[in-house]
Amino acid sequence: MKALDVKNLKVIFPVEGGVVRAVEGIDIEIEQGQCAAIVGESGCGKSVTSLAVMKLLSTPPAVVRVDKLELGGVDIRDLSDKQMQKVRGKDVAMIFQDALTALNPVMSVGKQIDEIFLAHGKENFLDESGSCPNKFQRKKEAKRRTIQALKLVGISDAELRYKAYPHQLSGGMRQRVLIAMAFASNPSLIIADEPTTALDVTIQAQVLDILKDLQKKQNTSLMLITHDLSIVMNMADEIYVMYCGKIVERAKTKDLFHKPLHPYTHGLLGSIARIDDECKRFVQIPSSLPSPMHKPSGCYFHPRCAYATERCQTEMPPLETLEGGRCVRCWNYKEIRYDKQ
Amino acid sequence: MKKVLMRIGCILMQILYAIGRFFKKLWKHKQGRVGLIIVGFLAILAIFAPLIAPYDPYDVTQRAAKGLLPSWEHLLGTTITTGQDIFSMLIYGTRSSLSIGLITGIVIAILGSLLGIAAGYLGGWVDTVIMRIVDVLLVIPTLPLVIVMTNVLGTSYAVIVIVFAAFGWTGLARVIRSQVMLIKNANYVKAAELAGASKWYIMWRHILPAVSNLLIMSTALTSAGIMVAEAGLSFLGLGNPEAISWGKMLADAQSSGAMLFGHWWSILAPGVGIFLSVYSFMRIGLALEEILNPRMRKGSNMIKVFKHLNNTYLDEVFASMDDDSKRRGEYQPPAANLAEVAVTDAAETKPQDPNAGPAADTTSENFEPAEKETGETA
Amino acid sequence: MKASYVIKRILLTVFIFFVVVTLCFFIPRIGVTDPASRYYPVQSAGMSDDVYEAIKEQVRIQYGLNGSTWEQYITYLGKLFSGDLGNSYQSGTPKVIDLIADRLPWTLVLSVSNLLISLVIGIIIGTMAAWKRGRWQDRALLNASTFTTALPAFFIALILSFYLGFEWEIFPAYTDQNMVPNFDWSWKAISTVAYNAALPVFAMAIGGIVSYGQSTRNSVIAVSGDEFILTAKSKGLSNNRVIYGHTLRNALLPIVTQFGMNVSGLIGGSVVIEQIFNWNGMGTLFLTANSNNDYPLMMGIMIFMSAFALVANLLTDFVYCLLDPRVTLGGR
Repeated sequence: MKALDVKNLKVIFPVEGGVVRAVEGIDIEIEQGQCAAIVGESGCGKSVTSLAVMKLLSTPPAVVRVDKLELGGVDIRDLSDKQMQKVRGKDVAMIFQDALTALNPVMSVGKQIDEIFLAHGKENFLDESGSCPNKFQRKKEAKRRTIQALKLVGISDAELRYKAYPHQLSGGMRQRVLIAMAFASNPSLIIADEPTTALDVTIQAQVLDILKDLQKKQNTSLMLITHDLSIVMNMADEIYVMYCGKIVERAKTKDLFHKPLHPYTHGLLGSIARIDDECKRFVQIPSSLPSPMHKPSGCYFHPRCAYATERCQTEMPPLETLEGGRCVRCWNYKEIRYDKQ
Repeated sequence: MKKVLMRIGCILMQILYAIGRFFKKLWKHKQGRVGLIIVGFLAILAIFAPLIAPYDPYDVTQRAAKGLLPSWEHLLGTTITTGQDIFSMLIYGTRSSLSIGLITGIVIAILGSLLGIAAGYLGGWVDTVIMRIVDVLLVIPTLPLVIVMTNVLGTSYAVIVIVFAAFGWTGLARVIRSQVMLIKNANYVKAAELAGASKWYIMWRHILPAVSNLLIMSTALTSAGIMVAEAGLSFLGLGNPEAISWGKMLADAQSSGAMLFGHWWSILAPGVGIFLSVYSFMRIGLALEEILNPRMRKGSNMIKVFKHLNNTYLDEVFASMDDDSKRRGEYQPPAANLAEVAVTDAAETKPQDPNAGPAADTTSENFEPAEKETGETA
Repeated sequence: MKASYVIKRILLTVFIFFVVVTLCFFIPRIGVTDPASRYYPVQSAGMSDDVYEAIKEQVRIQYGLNGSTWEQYITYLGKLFSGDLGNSYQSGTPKVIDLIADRLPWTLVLSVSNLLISLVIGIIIGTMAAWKRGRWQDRALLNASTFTTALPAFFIALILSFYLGFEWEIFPAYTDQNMVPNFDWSWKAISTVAYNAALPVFAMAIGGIVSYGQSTRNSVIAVSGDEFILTAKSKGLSNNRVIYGHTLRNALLPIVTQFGMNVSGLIGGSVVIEQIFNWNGMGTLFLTANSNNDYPLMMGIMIFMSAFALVANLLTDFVYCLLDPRVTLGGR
C-alpha cells in the first residue's frame, strides 16, 4: 500500500501582473515504511509541495490543482477543511524547519503535544471496557502519553521538560520536541521540511538518527524535504530531485549516488564533501535559480547546464521512465558521460 | 572669511537638497501627496489670512449682525454673542493651529532627539537620569499638568509652546533612544570608535543621520498630536485669549447656545478645520513611516484581488505546465497503461479544487494523463 | 519572576512617586516668594496693609504655608504620608481627599465603561477585520482609524450632543449633576446613571474601539503569519482552537500593553468630555479648582492621578510577565 500517492500536483501564486509557478505538475509515491526525499535548491517549490500535500496552503493566495491525492489509500483531494482536521496530526504529521518559530512561544511544549491527543476526539481514549473517561482523566492520560513521546525522542527528565517553554530549550531539544509531536499519534506519513537545517552539524546527526530510528520502529513513511544531499544518503530509500517546480530525476538512493543521470543531480552531488574524495575542488553549478515568474524557455536547467544542446533551449524534455522505476527529465542523458566525480 | 562663507553655503545647499529629496519622496507616495496638498492649502490660508478673509474676525462691534445664518455675505454666518464673521475666524484659526503645531513639533524634535541620542549613546548615568525624568513625566497626567502650568505661568503663546514641548518630548526620546541603542552596536559605528573618532563626531556624523528619518516622521505625528491638544486646551478656555483658535470657536459656539439655536455650522466648521490640519499631518507622518519601513506597509498585508485571475487564464497557466510532448501526443505511453488511463480520465471529470471552479473539466481535457502513470507501472 | 526585581521595581515606583510629589509641591511656588499670595493675590481697594497682612497670615496658618519653604515641604510630606492631601481653598475648607473620594466614582463610571467597551468591541472588530483581511470590513476599519485619530474626542462629543442630545433628544446632552442624590444600587439609580453616561461614554469609546480594533487586527495578522500557527493547523486542531488557543493568545500580548497604558490614564483622560457634558467627575472638579486658583485641590488631584497611574503601570508589568513567559523580569 502506498502511504502517499500524489499525481500531477500544480500550485501557482498569483502576483501583480502574472503568476509564480511554484509547482508544475509533480508525482510522488511513497510506499508504507519507506522514506522518500525531495531534494532541490531553496525556492524550487519543495516546501510548497509539502504544504500542498497537507492541504495547508492558504487559498487564496495560492491556487492548487491536483489529479490525485491519496493518503494511505484514502482520497483526501476533495476533503473540506473540517474533514482535513481529522486527518492532519492523526494520519499525516509535519516537522518544520525552525523549531523556535514552529512552537508557540507562550505555551509549554508539553501542552502543545497534549493538544494532538485531545484534538482527535474521545475515541482515542477508550479503555478496554469501551467507556470514555471524563475530560479531566483525558487530560491526565494525554499528559502521560506526551511524556512517553518525549522520552521516545531521547529527552531526559521528560516530566520536567513537559512544563518548559520553547525558549528555555536548546535548538536540538526543540527539534526533538517537534519530532515527538509528529510521531505522537503514530501517523502513517510524516513530512519533514528541512528538519535539521537550523541545527549544528553534530546535533543534526543526532536528530537524524532519532528520526530514522523512530521511522523504522513505527514503520512510518517519511517524506524528507531538504536541500542537502548528504543527509539524504543514509535516510532515504528513494530520491526526487526537483528543479524549478518540476521533478528532474527520480531514482533509488543507491542508483542516484552511483550514477546520476541528470546534469543537475550531478552538479548537486558534486557539491557534497566526501571523505573519500580525491578532487581538489567542488563542482559548482554556475549561476543561480531562475526567477519563478520568468522561467527560461525549453528545459529550465539549460542556462546553467554544461551539456545543453540546441534542443534544450526550445523544448522541455519529458520525464522519461527507465527500467527500475527510475525517471529522468533530460534530452541527452544517454549521451552525457560524466567524469568520475 | 570667504572660506567660512563657502562652508556655510555648502551646508545650506546640502540641507536644501535633502529637503527637496524628502519632498520628492513624499510627493511620490499617494497618501503623502494628499497630506502635502492639504498642508499647503492650509499654509496658504494661514499666511494670506488678511487677504482671504472677507471681514475682520476680531471685530466684535457688529452688534446688529449677531447670530446671522449663512448667506453670501457671511458664508458661515456670524457668532451669536459677538457677531464676528465665522468664515473669517475659521481662516484666522489656521494661523494659531498650524503655528503652534509646527513650532512645538520642531522644539520637541530638537529636545527629544538630543535627549534620546544622549541617553542611548552615552548610556550610564546620563541614560538613567533622562529615563527617570521620562518615567516621571509619563506618569503625571498631561492635560491637567499643562492646565496647572498655564495657570501658574499665564496663557501667552510662548508659554503654551514651552509647556507642550516640556512635557511632550518623552515619547520621542524613548523611540530615538531605542533606535540609537541598535545603531550603537552596528559595525560601522564600532569601526568609527576603533578609528578613534570622538563621541561628538560619532553622534553628529553617524547617529543623527541614522535617526533623522525617524525624527522627521515623528515630528509630523507629534505636530498632529499637539494640534489636537491645543484645540482641547483652547476649548477649555485655557489657550491664548487673544488669538482666534478653532478650539475656542467651538467653546464659544457651545457656551453661546449654538446647539439650542441649531447653528450646526458654527460647530462643524472649526471641527472640520481641526480635522483637516491634524489629518494632513498624520497622513504625512504615516506616509513617511511607510516610505521608511516598507515592511510596515499597511497595504502589503492586504490580500489583493487580481483582475487577470479568471478561470480561462488559470487553465492556460496550468496547461502550459505540462510537458510539450504530452500535449502534442508525441510521447507515447506504454500500451499496458491504457486501461488505467481510462479510469483516471473518468475520475477527472469531477470538479477538482474549489478554486478551480467549473472550468476544471476543460483543463483535464487538455491533459493527456497517460504519461503520469508510467511511474506507477515501472 | 524574581523577587529582587519585584522589589527593585516597587522601589523605583516609590521614587517616581516621591519626585512627582515634590514637583507638585513646587509648581505653585514658581515665580512667587509667598505662596499665600496665590490664594489671596490682590489687595482690595479699601483694605489697609495691616488687614491684608493679617488675612494672609491667617491663610498661611490654615494651609500650612508658614515657615520656610523647607519646613513647609517637610510638613507637606508628613501629611501626605498619613494620607492627607491638605485642605481645599473652597469655602468650608473641605479635605481634598474627601472631595476626590466624592467625585472619583463618577469619573470611574465613565472611564471604566469606556475602556471595557473599547476593549471588548475593539478586539472583536479587530479579529473580524483580520479574518476578512483585504475585504471591505478591513478597509472600513483602516479608514475609520485614520479618521477618528484625527478627530478629537471632544469634537465627536460636541457633534453627538448636538444631534443625539439637542436635535433628536434621545440622550441628555447636558447631565444634571444631582441626578441621583443617594446612589443606593437600586435599578432606578443605575439606569439613570447609565442613561446620562451614554453620550459621554460613546463619544470617548469611538476612538478607543477603532484604535483597539486596528492594533488587534495588525497584531492578529502578524501572528497568523507565524509558523507556529501552521504547526497548530498541521496538528489537526479545530479552527476555534487555532484562533483562540494560539493566534489570539499571542496577538493579545501587545494589547495588554496598550490596555495598561489606558488604565494608567483612566482618571485624567476624561477632563474635556466631562466639561462638555457637565459630568460631575474629577475633570470638572479639576477645572473648577483651576478657575478658583485652588492649588491644594489641583495638586491633590494630580498626585492622586499619578499614584493611580503608577500602580496601574506596576500591575501591567507584572501581568505581562505572567502572560508572556519569554519576558524575564530582569532586563529592561
